[in-house]
Amino acid sequence: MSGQQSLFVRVDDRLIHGQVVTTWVRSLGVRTIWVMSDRAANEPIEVVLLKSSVPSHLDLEVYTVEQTVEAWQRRRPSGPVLLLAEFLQDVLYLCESGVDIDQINLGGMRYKPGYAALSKAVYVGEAEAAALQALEARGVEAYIRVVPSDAKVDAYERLRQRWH
Amino acid sequence: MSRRDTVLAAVVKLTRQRGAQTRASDGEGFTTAEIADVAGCLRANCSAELNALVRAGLLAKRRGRPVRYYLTGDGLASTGLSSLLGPVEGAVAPLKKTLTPARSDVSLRRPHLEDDFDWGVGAERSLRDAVQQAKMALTYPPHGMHILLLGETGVGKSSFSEKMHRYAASFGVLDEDAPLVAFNCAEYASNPEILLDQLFGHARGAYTGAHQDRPGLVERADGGMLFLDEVHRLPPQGQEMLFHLLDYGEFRRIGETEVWRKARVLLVAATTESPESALLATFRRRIPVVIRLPALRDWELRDRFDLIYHLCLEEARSLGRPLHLPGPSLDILLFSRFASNIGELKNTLKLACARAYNRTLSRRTDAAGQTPDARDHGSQEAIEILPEHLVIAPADGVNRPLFRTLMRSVDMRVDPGVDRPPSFPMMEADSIYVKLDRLGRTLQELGFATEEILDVLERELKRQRAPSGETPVSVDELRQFVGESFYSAVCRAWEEIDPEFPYPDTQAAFLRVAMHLFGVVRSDSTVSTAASSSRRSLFDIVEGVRKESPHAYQLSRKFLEAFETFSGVQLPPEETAIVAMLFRPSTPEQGKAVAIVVALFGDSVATEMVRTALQLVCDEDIAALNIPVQTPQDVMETMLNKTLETVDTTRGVLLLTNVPRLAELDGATVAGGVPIRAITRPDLHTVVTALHIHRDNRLELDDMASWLKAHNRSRSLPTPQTTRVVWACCLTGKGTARAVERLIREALPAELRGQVRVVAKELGPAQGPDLEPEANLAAVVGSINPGLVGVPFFSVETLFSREGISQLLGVLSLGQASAAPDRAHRETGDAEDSAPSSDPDASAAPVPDAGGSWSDQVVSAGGNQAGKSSTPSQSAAEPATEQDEMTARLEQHVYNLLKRNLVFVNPDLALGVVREMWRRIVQGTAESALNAALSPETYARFCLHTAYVIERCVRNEHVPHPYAGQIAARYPNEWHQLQAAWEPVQETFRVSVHPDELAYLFELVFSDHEVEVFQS
Repeated sequence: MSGQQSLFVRVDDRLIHGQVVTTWVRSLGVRTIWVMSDRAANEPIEVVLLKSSVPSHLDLEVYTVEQTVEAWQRRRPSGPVLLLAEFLQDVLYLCESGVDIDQINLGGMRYKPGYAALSKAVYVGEAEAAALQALEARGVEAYIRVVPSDAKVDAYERLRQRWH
Repeated sequence: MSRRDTVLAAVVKLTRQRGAQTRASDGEGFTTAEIADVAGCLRANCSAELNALVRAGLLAKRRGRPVRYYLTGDGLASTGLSSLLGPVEGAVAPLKKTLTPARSDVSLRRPHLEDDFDWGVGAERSLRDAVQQAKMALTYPPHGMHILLLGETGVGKSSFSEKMHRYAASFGVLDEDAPLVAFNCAEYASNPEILLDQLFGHARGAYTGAHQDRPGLVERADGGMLFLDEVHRLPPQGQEMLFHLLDYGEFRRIGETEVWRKARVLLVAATTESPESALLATFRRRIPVVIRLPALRDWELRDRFDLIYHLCLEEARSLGRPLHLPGPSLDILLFSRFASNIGELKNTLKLACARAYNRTLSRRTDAAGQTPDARDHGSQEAIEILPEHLVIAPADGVNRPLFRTLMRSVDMRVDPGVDRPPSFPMMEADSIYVKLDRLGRTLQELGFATEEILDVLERELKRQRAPSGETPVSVDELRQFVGESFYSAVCRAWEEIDPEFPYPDTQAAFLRVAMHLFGVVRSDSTVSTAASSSRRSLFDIVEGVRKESPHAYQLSRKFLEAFETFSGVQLPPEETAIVAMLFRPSTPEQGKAVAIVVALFGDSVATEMVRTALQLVCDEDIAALNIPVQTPQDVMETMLNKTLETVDTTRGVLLLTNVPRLAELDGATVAGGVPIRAITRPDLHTVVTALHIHRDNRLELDDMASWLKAHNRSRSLPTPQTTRVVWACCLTGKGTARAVERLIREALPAELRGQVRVVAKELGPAQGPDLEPEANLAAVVGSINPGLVGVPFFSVETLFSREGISQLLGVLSLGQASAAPDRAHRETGDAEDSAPSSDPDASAAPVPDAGGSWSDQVVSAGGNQAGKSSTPSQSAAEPATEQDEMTARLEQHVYNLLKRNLVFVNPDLALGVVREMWRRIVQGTAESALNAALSPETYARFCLHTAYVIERCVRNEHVPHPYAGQIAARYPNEWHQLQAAWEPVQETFRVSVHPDELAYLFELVFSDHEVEVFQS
């Protein structure tokens, strides 16, 4: 078991661009941010943009999902890590690949046609709902919370209310 | 009471007396002698006061001998009149009821079209015409005008009459406690005697069982408003009695023969009949004001949205529980047809609430094991109205598929304790809906009421002439614009000739013709007597067309004959020739055009730019060539040749490139004799411009090249903003031109509005080739192309497509004096290494342009930075190619991200305002304070982040910031600057910014300051 909260996982499909992440950096006191996105990691321009978005005293890496698994297993930093995932499904994959995650923060999952709102910022479709159910089955805690000052909202509970 | 007041009161008294005693006017107004007599003062003094009152605007003089004075509208409703009348008892007292507002506190509120009376949902848009008409009719002196109220069943006629009654009372037209008597003539329609008895009452002994005198509703309505619903059910006899009442203010109870009784009623006669019906004709003759309430399906969606909210609120309040309508349910309410209008919508909703309520009850008892606690506890749980709760008649289930796909599903939550309507979810300014919205308003201004909507749409779509792939939106919009009956007349007439229609692109021709006819018919019906001189001069055209294209002429005649039959409109004979001309495509599409190749450094820059340009202008003969930066010089030409194989090079190649090696090819020939002209350092503007002039295939390669160069040069001139001119052209009558003019105006974004002048232009046959374009003419829009070289032409039908509008906007913003540094430089920029421009104006930040490229700003951000590293006066220094490329890629990337991530806010629009924000911030900030903030990356992040902030604001959300207050207190100047910079966002999106969001912006822009805050 990794130490509690040494890997703080947040799903936000705007990654850093929502600016919200700075509040989490403050509140968590992390120095390392990992962005996990196959798309972003393969777009050099996005990497440049992401890296320019954080203050210089923070380390930021942009990884693909595979790279994240590998980095967590091989190059785990000493301090806590804020892992920003673009997709919930990727986080599930992380769990299935042996990365020990006990909590997931859902910060932003954008609306698409046919999606149901779990909150103002979090929408789920088939894929997301399935991923959530799988995560619940694994005993991972998942809650909706845009900024640290928000109250925690149980994502599974909401899912049961809003998703048929 | 001053003498002047006494004199005024005397006039008022006389007015009242005369109005009561006689209706035969013996010359309006009163002589000085009469007034002096009533006022009890000397005639000379009275005369002086009267003149003073005339100067004050309360009285008017009627010239003649003797001079007569009468109350003006101001005088009638004037301030202080009621207080003046206070001391005068007796004869003048009843006047208070009729002429003046009853309470002194309302006496200052003159009837006015812009008052704050609440007419309810839809008053500002869907019911605007009706409300304006009602106000005018009700405030018409002295007692308001009678009103004929038309509308389908359930459109809210009786509630509208209640509103009118309250309005009349609150503005003193009626007494405060004036009665509103409502009666439905259908109630006793089978028994006219009872009906008339109800209305007018009877005298004792009038008929068996009439044991005593009985007053009717008319008497009860005396001094107030009489609302007669289903007035077409009133028997002829009753009509006559009613008309006598309207004309003379007199009536008789049934059975009375001796006396005329008096009653002053303001009649509101309502009916669902079509106003053309024979029966209503008599009413129309007697009742001057006809107000038509639109059917629910003609309401603007936004109003319907509000209406649904208010109905839900009522339900929520009566149930004492919040309601929740998930998106699909709301969609059903928004888009179903509801043949019985608001009434049906209301019933559907009530029924759904009942069903949903039952479900929550039973579910809760199931789940909670019937514990009463659970029931209490859950009483604030929202009642969820699911689609299956909404029972829609099958015939009403006809949806509006276009609107539906355009509108994003949202939930609606209604809390019984809160009356705050959610904002309508459509925010994209260029979405079809918003455009329709604009069209609708334009239509209203034209005085045209849309009849029916979209129910035959499905059929129409299948009948589409254009092959698949074309969106049917233009037809849809046309339909909205011209109205259902007109549209179907055109359609049916068109069917007559459709099989033999000889020209390609039938749909475009159809749209052109329909639009033209609409203009003609409109102008004829509004200015019926205008003898059109331009028409006569069309004689030549008629002859010409008849000779040159006899087939089209035949076809046109056939079409117009059918159209006249279906529409009942009589058209002048010249129309045959005009329509025949409109049959043909507006621009000759045949013939080869010059090929365009965009060759730019970078792995995908050229592709991206071409792709973006093609979104603005559709074209074929354009190819993108990506030249990776490390490409060896000698390979470049080979790459170009390869690209040339993919395009038609018969008329030469226009090469837009930032690759020096390729730019050298200007004037050369390649690949076996293909002439090439090169334009250096193109940006998106250049590409779009090239595509525009490219469509005019009369232009030769050299013309295009020199025009583009000249265009680039003129763009870079540091002249102040000039007004761009757009011509709205049509062949005849100003109908089309004016309609087009309106359309363009409405389509312009706010920031362009002041800078674009739209001129309605009538093109006679004599004009044409030798027509002189006026200075700053940016575009011509119309049904016929005057063929001005270098001035892009847009046919009317392009205005009905999203692309068309954005193309036009693109052209309009092209010419704006946006002296971006790189552009100023480009003036000398044919050579690849020229000296930095020393033009002081060149550093001015560019004006944001709507719908066009947004590449300049980033380049200028880069340019500024480059400039800072040299000397301030050289702020327009040449940005390095790599930085160019970097910014180009960044901007494209940001744009892509926004397109992907923004849900409510239109990315183009957002970027436009964000750029303007950035410009303001950069302008207002000392360089030292900004530091690294000016890097292209920061600019890109700023764009991205601010766009997200706008989206949150639009959704009425914000992200809390822990130190917002501290930042504001510590850096008031910067804070204020950011607030000021928000202004363009406020103007465009109507949202203000939350301080917390501002704090994040602050951190982004003033990153140095931010650190200090942390350290302290």
